[in-house]
Amino acid sequence: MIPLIRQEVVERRRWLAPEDFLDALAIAQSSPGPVAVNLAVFIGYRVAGAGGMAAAALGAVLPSFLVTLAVVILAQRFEYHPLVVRFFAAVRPAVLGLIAVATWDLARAALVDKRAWALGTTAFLLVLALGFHPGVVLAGGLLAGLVVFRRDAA
Amino acid sequence: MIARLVLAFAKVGLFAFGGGYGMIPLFERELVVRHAWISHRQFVDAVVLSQVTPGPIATSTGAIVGYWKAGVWGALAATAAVTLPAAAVVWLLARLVARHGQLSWLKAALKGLRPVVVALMAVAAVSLAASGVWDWKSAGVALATGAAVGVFRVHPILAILAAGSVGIIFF
Repeated sequence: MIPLIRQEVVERRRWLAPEDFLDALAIAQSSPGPVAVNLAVFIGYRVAGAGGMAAAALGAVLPSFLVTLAVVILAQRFEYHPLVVRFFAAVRPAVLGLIAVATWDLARAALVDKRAWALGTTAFLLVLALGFHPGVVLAGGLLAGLVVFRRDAA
Repeated sequence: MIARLVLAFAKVGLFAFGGGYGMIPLFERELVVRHAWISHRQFVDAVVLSQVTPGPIATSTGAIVGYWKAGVWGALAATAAVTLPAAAVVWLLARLVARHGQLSWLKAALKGLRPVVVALMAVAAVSLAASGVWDWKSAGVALATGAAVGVFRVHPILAILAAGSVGIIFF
């Protein structure tokens, strides 16, 4: 979705310069929530203030919301159809493969040095072994990042 | 029910750093473990549906689980709830950056966040794997999908559709 937004906003409509788009992307990625929607919110705000922000958020979410709703209503209606049952029986393990790959890809980008490994390992153990809430551990990582990585980012 | 949906999804929206699959651990914790609104199996089905429909995984998951629990209004409420708190943070950051004009502290915080997101995704993968029923066929599908997407860079949606077709024929 992000390359599509870039094409529309930077190349076609020229609302943002390419380097501004990179800043927008950095902010969208460091905020919680869906990156594509965050990006739309930021660009909407930059281009047309609070109203632009609301319009962009709505535009980014509404069309896919309607399609998703239609699909989920259909899927529920045919939930017990043998074809649907067999489809999902095979797709469930496939999702685990997808999550494993996504984890691996992110790990290669994130675990850049010993400090990152230490943070990741600590978080893993806190959540898996001690049952910490993911949100708490994320907040801890954010603070740790501010302290530990402050100097190399500057 | 709708008020509880809004609270749970707003919480996920507020804490879900990392985008895309980074939200899966939080959704799993809130929807499956904490509130027990859906089973692990239904959660995986929701992930499948959110992956094959357009739009971000988080908003699609909101629409799907919201619809399951409270119909169309539930879908609308959950989607809005997962989007709005995050939008507020973006707005705040946009103003901060406009005023101070530098992103270095943000990049430092992000560097600390990323390893944690990786860890949470690994935890989610372990817990989903532990909740599934495994036989040779499903292990084969999981491995083949991982190889197709991880090594040969097949698009995830294509991989899901391929796995589903395999299921229709062999499962």
